Amino acid sequence: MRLTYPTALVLQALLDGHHHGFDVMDATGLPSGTVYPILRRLDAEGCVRSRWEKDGVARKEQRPPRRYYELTAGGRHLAGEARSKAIAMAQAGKRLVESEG
Amino acid sequence: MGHTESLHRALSIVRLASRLVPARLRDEWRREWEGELSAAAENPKLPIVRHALGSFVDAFWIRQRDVADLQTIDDLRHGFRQWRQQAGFAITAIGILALSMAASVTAFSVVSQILLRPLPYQEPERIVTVFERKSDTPGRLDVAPGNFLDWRARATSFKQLAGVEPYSFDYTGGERPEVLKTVLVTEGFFDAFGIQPLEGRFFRPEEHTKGNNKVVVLTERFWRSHFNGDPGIVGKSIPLDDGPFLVAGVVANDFQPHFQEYTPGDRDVYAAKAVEEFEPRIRASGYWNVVGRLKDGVAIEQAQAEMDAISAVIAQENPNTNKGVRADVITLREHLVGDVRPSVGLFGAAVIAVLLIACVNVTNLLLARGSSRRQELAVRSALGASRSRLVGQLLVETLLLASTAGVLALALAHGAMRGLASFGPREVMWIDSLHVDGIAVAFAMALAGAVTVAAGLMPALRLSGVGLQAPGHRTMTGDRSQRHLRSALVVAEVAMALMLISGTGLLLRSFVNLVGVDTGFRRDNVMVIQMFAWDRNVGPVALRSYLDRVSAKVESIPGVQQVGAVQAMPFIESNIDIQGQMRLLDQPAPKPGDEIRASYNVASPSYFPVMGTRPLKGRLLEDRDGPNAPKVVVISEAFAEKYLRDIEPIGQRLEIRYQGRPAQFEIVGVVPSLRHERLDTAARAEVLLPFAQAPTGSITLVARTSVDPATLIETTKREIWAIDPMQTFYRTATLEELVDRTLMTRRFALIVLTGFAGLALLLAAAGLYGVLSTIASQYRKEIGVRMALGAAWLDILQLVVKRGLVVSAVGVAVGLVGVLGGARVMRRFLFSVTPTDPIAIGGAAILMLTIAAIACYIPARRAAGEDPVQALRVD
Repeated sequence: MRLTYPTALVLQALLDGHHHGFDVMDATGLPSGTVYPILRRLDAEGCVRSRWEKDGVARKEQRPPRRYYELTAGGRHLAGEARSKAIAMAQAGKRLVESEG
Repeated sequence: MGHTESLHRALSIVRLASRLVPARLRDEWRREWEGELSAAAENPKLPIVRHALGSFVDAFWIRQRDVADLQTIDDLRHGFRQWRQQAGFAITAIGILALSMAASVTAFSVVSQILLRPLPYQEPERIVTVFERKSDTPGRLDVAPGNFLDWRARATSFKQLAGVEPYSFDYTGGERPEVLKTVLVTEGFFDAFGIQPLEGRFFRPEEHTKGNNKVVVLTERFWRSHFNGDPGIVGKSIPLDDGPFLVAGVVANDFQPHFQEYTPGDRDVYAAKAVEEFEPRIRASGYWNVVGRLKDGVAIEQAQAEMDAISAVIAQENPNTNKGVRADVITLREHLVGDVRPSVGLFGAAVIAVLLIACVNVTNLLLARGSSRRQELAVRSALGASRSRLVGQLLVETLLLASTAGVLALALAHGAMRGLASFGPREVMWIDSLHVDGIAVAFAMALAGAVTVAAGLMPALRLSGVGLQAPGHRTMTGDRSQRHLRSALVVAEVAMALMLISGTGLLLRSFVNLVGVDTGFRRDNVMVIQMFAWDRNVGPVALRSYLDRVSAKVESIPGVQQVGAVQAMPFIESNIDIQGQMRLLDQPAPKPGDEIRASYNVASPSYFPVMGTRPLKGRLLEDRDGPNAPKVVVISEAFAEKYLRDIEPIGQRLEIRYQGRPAQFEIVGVVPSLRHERLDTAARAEVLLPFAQAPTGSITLVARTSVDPATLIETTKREIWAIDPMQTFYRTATLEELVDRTLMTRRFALIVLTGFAGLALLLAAAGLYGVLSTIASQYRKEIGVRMALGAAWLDILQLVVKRGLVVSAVGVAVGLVGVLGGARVMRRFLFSVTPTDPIAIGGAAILMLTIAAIACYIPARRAAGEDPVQALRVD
């Protein structure tokens, strides 16, 4: 699947242990209208799987249950790929800046 | 907004968005969003309403991905296939829509980018301008300094109230002396706008006092062009007029107050104004502008009420000058865009008319094409497609047309706006920054949707209704009702086109009348050079000598025939209008309030032959009217009509207060009234004094030339510099240019409306042609039978043409009713034409019917020329 910059951010957030949609938004700084379609796409591609939070947890906090997303093996692979791409980009950028300076 | 309330609102948004989600996924989708929002609501800092809005994107994404929506994609694919099969139809429909949508997008952008654009100042709605209004003169007038000073001293509604005086400095720091367009501003001018300097500072209060006021603020444009944008200039002095002026600061280019009508944004410097000793006494001639900022909590109505009371007191104190004079407080925005609004309304109406005509045409095309698609739709229906499915399919096809047209329209609008920015009337503020922005794109998209419904819904509903019939089956009633519908649409089209053409005709007639206005002078082959010669020619003797030398020098230039000079030059931007009280000494004293107040002007004897002016009575000013000769004047026809009705003007003695002293002059001639400002404003009641008897340093040279006057301007400047190398030129032009400038807005309006009217005419003709072609082809059998039975070629022609003409005539009749209804609105745009002018409206009706006749004739001829045997074989 296409690895856009926001997608890479979402993958990294999931890798870092943010498992709810809004937590991913918090971690990435991306708006809900960006994060959710990415999660849907990752879901459809089998990169994440989702389940519902246990009823007990939600009841204790007196709110409806939340959906829980986690990376699949494929998703973790993709996240790794995103990370190495980002590192390569950063290094290229650094060289560019240094050569200009 | 409270915490729970936010959550409540966020949940409602999600509920609304959930409608977009396919039903089978909806519950789970909603639960997820509700879970997240409820959890997030525990942190009051999170903008959960904004987060909730994102659910629309999510929902939409799910929907477009969902299988159910393959239908739409399928419909789109089908639409493209349809295009390929009927390329002519698609190109026509897209072309029609693109043109009319481009007009709409452009008009919309003018409104959104000019009329609704926020002014770039702090709390712009509190910035006001104050003008004078006189009970006997229409419109807003510039302010006399004496009145401004009284207003400022007495009014309490304003935080700042500043006077602005147009002025010019001679700048001698460059290669050649140069005129700097300047405004002198009193204390608080920049504060009234609430802006900050780009460099340095603005004026200090003490700099608005005599002796301390040699301080200027440069405009960014001038600073960049003359000092390369060097911040080091701040704090240094530059040579202006008779001495050094301190540069206090630089004001950014985006500060374009545009409050002076004829100098939009072309100023070079702002200078600190110190009120002169004589200025409080000037009350009759207004030439200042006033800008202010309302105090917090003061409404504009309160300020107006206060100014009304102050004006009344000032009028009591100065009955001679201030009777019927009041102060008019309006917001800066209203001042800047108020005059444009009616024109935008007119263009808006024209744009909507063209758009509606285009929609009607596309509806017609869709209906016509529908006849040939019945079979396909019937098959689809028989295979189980529901009616709503068919309507959806047909609408998606129209949407495809409209969206493509929308994209094209944006490209066309881009071109149109570039054109407007370059060639549109300069007086319209911000016109040079028009462009296709995000709002324009959004508007184009919304327009595509609206057009889809307007043009596509009716055909979709009608065509989808045929599904119940057996494939191939045709009913005459269906055809007939469809024909009626299409005829009704053509009637609407013709009516709207007629209204547009009539309106354009009226504007055209106005324009012709306006261009034909007798200006009192010949405008061809005259060179105009405005200059101020006060500085180095002090006193009447020096001024007379200077003009004599300059005139002789300019007259010696090959191509120059004769040179004259005048103080108040008609049609020049910085037109001088000095008014004063006058008295006819041989007539009984007028009643108080009926005293003569007229403009006085100064001219050299050769001014009249250069301008092509001949005396109506008596004689012109002549060389014999020298400094020591008896004092004489000539008066304008308007003066004679206003103040000397039933009195022989020649020989009357006139007392004029000139340069502070009363002096007696004898009227020796009457000349045609010269128009000064615009062709559509009344001529001035004017008295012209001989230059030799009233020398002035405000000189506009006029030269009649045997060659194109524009080619002589540079030579003339050089020749004058040979006499005085420090002479600057305030404005150089040809007389033709000066007059033309005042026609620009009207000419522009005319060109645009003619374009719209032409488009409307074309579209209406195309609509008519389309309908008649279909009727003619549906009647082929009948025509065949008639011809077989011996009907002549002409009979058949008549039959079809008559049908078309009846439809057009009904359209014209409906249109005429509309024209008469709109007469009141049109009146303000017209000049010497009534809004019910029979020539313009009758002409429009004849034009429309002629075009209609041609549009009918072509299909009729085709039908009549057909071989009856072929015609009978149809079906």
